[in-house]
Amino acid sequence: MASIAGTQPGAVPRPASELALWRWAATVDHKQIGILYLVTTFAFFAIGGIEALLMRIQLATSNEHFLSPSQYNALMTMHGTTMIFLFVMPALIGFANYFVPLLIGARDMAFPRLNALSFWLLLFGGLLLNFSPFAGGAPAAGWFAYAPLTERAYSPGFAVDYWSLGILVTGAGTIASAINLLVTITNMRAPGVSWGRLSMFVWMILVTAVLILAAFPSLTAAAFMLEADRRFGAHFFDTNVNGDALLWQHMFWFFGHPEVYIMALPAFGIVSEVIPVFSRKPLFGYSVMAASGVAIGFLSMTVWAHHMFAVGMGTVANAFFGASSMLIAIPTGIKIFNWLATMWGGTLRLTTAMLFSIGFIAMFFIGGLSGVSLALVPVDWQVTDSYYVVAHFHYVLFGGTMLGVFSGIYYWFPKISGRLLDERIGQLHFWLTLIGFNLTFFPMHLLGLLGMPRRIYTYPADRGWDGYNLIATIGAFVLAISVLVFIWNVLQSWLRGEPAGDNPWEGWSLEWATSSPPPPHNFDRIPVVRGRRPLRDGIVFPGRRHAMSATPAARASAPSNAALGTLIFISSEATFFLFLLIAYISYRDANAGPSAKSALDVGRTAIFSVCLWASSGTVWLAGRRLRRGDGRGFRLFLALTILLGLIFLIGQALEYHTLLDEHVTLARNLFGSTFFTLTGFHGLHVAIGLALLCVLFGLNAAGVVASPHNGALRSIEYYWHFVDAVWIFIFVFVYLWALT
Amino acid sequence: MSDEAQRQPAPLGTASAGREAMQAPADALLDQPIHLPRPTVWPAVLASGVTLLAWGVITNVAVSIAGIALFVVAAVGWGREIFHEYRERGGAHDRRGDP
Repeated sequence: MASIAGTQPGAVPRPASELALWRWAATVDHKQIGILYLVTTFAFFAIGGIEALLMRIQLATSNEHFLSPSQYNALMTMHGTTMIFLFVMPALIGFANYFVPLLIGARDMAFPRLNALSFWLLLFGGLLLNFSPFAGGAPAAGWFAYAPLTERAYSPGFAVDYWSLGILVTGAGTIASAINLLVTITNMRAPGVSWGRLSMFVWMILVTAVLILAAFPSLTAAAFMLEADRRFGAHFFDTNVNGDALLWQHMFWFFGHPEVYIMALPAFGIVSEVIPVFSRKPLFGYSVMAASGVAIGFLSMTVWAHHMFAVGMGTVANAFFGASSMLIAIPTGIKIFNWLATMWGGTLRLTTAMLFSIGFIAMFFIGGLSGVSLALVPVDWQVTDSYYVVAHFHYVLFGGTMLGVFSGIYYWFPKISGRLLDERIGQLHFWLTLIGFNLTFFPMHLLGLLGMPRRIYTYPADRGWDGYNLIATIGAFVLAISVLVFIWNVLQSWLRGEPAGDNPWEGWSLEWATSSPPPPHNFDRIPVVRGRRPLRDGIVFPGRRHAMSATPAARASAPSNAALGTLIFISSEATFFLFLLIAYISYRDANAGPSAKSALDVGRTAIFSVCLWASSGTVWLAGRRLRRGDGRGFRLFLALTILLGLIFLIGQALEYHTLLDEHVTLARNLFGSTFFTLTGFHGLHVAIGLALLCVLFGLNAAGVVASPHNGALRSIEYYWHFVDAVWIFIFVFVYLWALT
Repeated sequence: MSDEAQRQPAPLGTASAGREAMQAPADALLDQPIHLPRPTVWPAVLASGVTLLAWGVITNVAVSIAGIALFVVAAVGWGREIFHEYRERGGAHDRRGDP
């Protein structure tokens, strides 16, 4: 069977270096970056798994002293953080990296270099986090790092700093990935790949990317506040001076619950690819499957406080978050029924990939049911912070997502490597995983109902918990053996597995329309797709070769990648500022000492604020001049914009100088903490904008960015309007409100 | 597109049928080059700069300064990379841009 993506003349390969290490370090190929993601995240999975095994040894019997309490706390924290931030989520991003461009018929991601940056931020952030044990001790405050335990008074040293800085660095990479994926899916689809023909995996990645952009800024803002508290003396979560521990919980879970779906939706997507192919039927209810994914994404933004039923939020809040949490079961249930309906009457082929997908449905179903029970507030009050919760989220994240990940690996490994994974070893891997998983986590439901709290390093012998804990520990070692079997399968199959051919499963999505592994440019000719299942419904390859960046580019009105990417970035940044503003507003009346009313000179700030807002007008006029072909006028208005921006920054510097003279600092009180963080981050954004405007000015003067349609120009214009708009809100809520 | 059209079970081997449809002959425009960005280490250098900048907060300000320096060098190198590609394409503006 001929491949459409051979080494036909005309293809320009990426120049490759002789040194393998250099080649990997310098790669911008989405497929190689996808492999880097998968290999790196599985290395972190091994670390997180060993941490879990050590905890299970400690808990195997009562009154065990294999680990000290502090060692146990550190392992527990690192296990959770590693598995969530360094394994599950980035592994799924790895899949997205490799397969989204292939599934939409593109040559690469929209921003290949940004894609590489995302990966390196993950790796270096992960290394930073894992360096903490060598720098005085690993973080031990739990993966959700509740305040005020994480404050310097209660967690001295640098461990929590490594946690928050590691999260910030990897988080920046995750946000960049989400922007890249959104722009790629929006702008890079091959002709004919309409929204209604998009692969379900791509649909779920689309929703995931939106969720990342909506949820991560909350964590980023919270981590910055925590670091401001710990290293710069701020008081955001300092309960001694009216700092609010619950603010951390709200901000963390506003990120944390969508994060569950960030980790689940891509797995839903993988399973939605695997089940139809091995049932020889199309996905049942395609439109509803896509819509239910969107509904899950939307609802997941409204349920965060179900993690906080025990804090005493009041009946109305509890009822709202309980109801919204239960609502999520509806779109999720739709998905489960649709997967079952896809299999119903199909010609099932029980390959390892299919077995893992079926296992996913069964285990995720159990995790979902226990989730619904936890959404009932009185039930939650009984079992909160018990092993019932540990059982629930492991059924979701291991029984659900992890089995989905394994399914994806067995399904797509032939495409990545050109070789099939050994099916016999694969089946052994599946059954060991299923048995080990249930042995480990099912008894935890019972332990939770019997009252065993989570996060305890040991327990007394008279509670009746020993037997269940021993079973769980045995199960954990069975799981460990299953992972070793998997690693063996991957290694030996990669080296001498059976050649896969281009389409070993007789799949019908676009990744199977190219060679295994695909060439650097994915497709010699960009396919034109005629149906939801391209290889079945027919695709054509018009002879014309498209440039990488020219897929459904015929839409002249579509924003450029750079402009769209900037708009998406801005939306995420707006959420970040929203949380800083929420912190300011929520502490406005809890403050003691200098306040906005007593410390700020509103009139003076109004003058330099007008300069900033006026600069939005001048940058717009600059763009207009360029569109009229008036380069000189463009540079004139650009220079005026830069001047007005500089006046604003000088005004802000003068204001800071006055405040510091009056001993109003970040460390003075809650007003100082919130004011300097909010306005400081805004000032940083203005400074970055000014630097970009200067670069734009220089490039235009050199005759480079001279086209009015240039993406860079549009991007900087949007960004500048954004920083000006943010200042409107800051001026209203910080300055004008101070006058009342 | 309705789901009705997809309710018919697909027989085994339909992918092959799809494959036949794919093998459209190449035409005279085949020699248009495919533009893929060159490999570059600047993203890795920039990420290391960001990481050092963060690490400096809990070690030494010199580490942060080194991080900022790396960041700036990488950003300039990255920009030059884009500039180089722009020149290679004959200065034609790329509507879509690919940082």
